[in-house]
Amino acid sequence: MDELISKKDLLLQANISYGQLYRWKRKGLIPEEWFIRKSTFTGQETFFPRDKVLLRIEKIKSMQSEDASLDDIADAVAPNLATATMTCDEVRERNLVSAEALELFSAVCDAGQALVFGEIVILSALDSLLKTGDVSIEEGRSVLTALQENYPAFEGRPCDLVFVRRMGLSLSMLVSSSAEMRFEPAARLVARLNLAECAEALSARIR
Amino acid sequence: MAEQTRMDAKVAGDGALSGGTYGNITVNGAGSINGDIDCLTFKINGASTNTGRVVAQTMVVNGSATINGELQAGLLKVNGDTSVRDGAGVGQLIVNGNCQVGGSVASHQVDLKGYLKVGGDLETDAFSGDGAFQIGGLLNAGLIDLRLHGPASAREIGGERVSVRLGSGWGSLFTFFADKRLITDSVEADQVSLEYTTAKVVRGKDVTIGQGCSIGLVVYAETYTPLAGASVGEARRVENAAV
Repeated sequence: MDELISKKDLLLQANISYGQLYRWKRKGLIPEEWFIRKSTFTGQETFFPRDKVLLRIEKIKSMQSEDASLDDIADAVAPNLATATMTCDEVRERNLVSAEALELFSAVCDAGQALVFGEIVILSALDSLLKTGDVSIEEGRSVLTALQENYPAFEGRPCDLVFVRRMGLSLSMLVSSSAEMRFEPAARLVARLNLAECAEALSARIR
Repeated sequence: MAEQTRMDAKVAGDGALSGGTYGNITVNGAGSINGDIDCLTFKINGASTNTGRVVAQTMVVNGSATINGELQAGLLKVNGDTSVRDGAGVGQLIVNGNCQVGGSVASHQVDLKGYLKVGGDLETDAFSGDGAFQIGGLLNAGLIDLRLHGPASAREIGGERVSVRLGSGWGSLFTFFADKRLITDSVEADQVSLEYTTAKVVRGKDVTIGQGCSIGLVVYAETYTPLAGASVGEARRVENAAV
């Protein structure tokens, strides 16, 4: 779990006003799930994941100083996933993912046509799992199926790819990012990958 | 995908429509619409029940509309009664009657003259209210301008400028006996000016607490003006240019 910062301390540290904070929230610059409500002895208070939110505010401020509009900033920090498309060849040329991942992807999917951004996100998620060695090529196939069938169902809401192994058996699934998960002792959580962060990193590289 | 031709549809009397893409839909009697619809205008003069999602550029409800799903509309004008089970994204929301949304509402502008109930959060650039409302979560608006004519509540309120006054004029004649008060846990904004508000804490740069207020704690950065008839437990100044 990330270290948290209270709203009051955040405003102080980032030197912003309530008005700015609420405006940025409305414009989708600061995601809903970073506003974490907790009970304290003074009643309910709102907390934020400290490092993430400070980094984000830094980015918003630096873009504002370059005269970017709030909508431009929203596109940069929370990209609209539907618009970008790319062919397999382009993905290969720009070296966005490894050849192995692309090969696996082409085996499962019809790779002739242009990939939409969501598919590239899936591909890069698969790629990062393959690279860390958490997932074998063979298991990658089932991960890919889990992603392909279920990622669109989240309709852009933040979700995580979860990969679990138990006594040689593996299982992959998608859960919403806020979900807390507990496993039986014999099961091991191999990887939990935030797809929204994948998409953000990817959009920064495509740009 | 090629743009489908949008056919108009009209329900007069008692009728049903299936989901799909439409031009202008008018319900003059009692209509039930089964499935998701996407239309240009959706006008209800009688009663209509939708199962599924509604996407409309303009939706006008003069009678009663029930949507058992979510709503996306450029403009929603409620002169009668509207209830949306899930969330709603509405460019401009005008409520002259009664509007209830189970989920959260995202909007650019809300003009309230009737009653609005939102189960989740209400986010809008400008919220102008002459009626009564109940918001289960956060009321987040750049500009909040309320004239109280009845009971109003939100779990918390945040924004840039918040102004709450007691309603006056002809509108308040009809609600003479209603409890005209805003109840909330916290108000956080740059400029805050309140009347007849009960809140545990108010935080802002410039804070004015007026008649009929009952505030536990005021935290301000620049100016604090308590007026006659206000009850404030404690006011604290913070050395924070940010707040």
